[in-house]
Amino acid sequence: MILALDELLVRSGQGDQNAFHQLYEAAAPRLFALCKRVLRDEQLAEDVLQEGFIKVWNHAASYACDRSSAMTWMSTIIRNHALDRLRQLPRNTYSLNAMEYETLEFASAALQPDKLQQLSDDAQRLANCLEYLKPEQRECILQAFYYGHTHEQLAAKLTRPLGTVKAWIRRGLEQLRGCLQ
Amino acid sequence: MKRYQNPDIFEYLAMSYALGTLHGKPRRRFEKLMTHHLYLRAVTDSYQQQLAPMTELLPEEIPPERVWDNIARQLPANNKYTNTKPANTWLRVLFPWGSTILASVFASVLAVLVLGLWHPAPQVYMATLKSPEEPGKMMVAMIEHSNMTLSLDMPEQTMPEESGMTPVLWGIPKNPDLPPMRMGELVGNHAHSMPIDRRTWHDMSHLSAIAISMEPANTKADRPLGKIVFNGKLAEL
Repeated sequence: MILALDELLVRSGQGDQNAFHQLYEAAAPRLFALCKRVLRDEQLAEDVLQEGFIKVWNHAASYACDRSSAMTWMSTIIRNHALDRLRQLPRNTYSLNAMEYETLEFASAALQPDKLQQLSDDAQRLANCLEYLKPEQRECILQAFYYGHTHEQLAAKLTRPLGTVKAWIRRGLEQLRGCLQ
Repeated sequence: MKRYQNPDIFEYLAMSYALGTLHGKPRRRFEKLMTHHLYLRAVTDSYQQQLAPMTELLPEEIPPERVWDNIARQLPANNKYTNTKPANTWLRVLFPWGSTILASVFASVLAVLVLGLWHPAPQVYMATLKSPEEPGKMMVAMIEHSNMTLSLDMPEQTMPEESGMTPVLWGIPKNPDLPPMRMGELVGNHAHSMPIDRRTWHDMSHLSAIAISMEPANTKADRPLGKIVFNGKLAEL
């Protein structure tokens, strides 16, 4: 029987290790992809994914499925853990020149309608709202979320003044919030 | 006004935290502030929930098997499938026909005491109150048994001020046939907490939500007649 992620997370919170294994099999590939982008280091990403899932197991009993989806809940825990690890890295190990990973086409709702249908309602709504942003706002927000860039790193990467990048992000997030509400 | 109480500033910090652009010392400072100010935590959680589905847009990458192996090693030993064949114990000798019944009683007691199926009475209730008219405005209400106090945590200038009107707190019962419970008035410009009595604490378990309405000063209406300026679901912690 295939159970939804929310149900698997609730069962994990009740100590069901089989459910937790199924939860890992279903969610880990996307969360690993996120860790790899934030940390830019495969070994570090594996460590963070492993530690993140232990946190998920330890806190699963506090998950309330009426407040958020399981994927949202786990993404927040694991991404925050990855960001914590990122900020502990010595600055010289995180070179701006090594930041190129890929394009951001995977986050385009317009280009991948088949994929859009496989997403949760929350993700579909978000993907649609992202399409309404100006390209520069969208790029900054996606780069910051997926790669953990600071405002300063984004300004350097995009060769734009810091104030401009901050304004793009702020207006983009405000617009996104309005669209999602 | 303190920086973190200025909605223009704290909302921007919450956004930046959720997006991940807040790094280093500012991120740690903000995390510390969130432990003291629940409205900061609530606003940040809201942004994190809105942004987290971005993870689903990523192409999948299967992690190596060793990651799960390492996780599995750290999980508690699973005793669910241990040998359940009844042993020839003194219980079996004394109660040859009733050991199954006894075992089920023991199992129930064990489940209640050890596995935490017994839920102790909550010590804290919490509600995130939002303005029905201004989506950006919110506050956090906390009702604590330890000090028998109802407190509201909010940025400055959140509570509306109207001449001759007083904000009144209401508890909305789970049973829709019961009337709202008047919990008290927020008197004074900065009165964001009020004592509660034992009866109010006892009645908290029957409530599903908290609301604040603006009522004419010096009146004691037994149900909200004025405009509801904030409301939100109540949760047991």
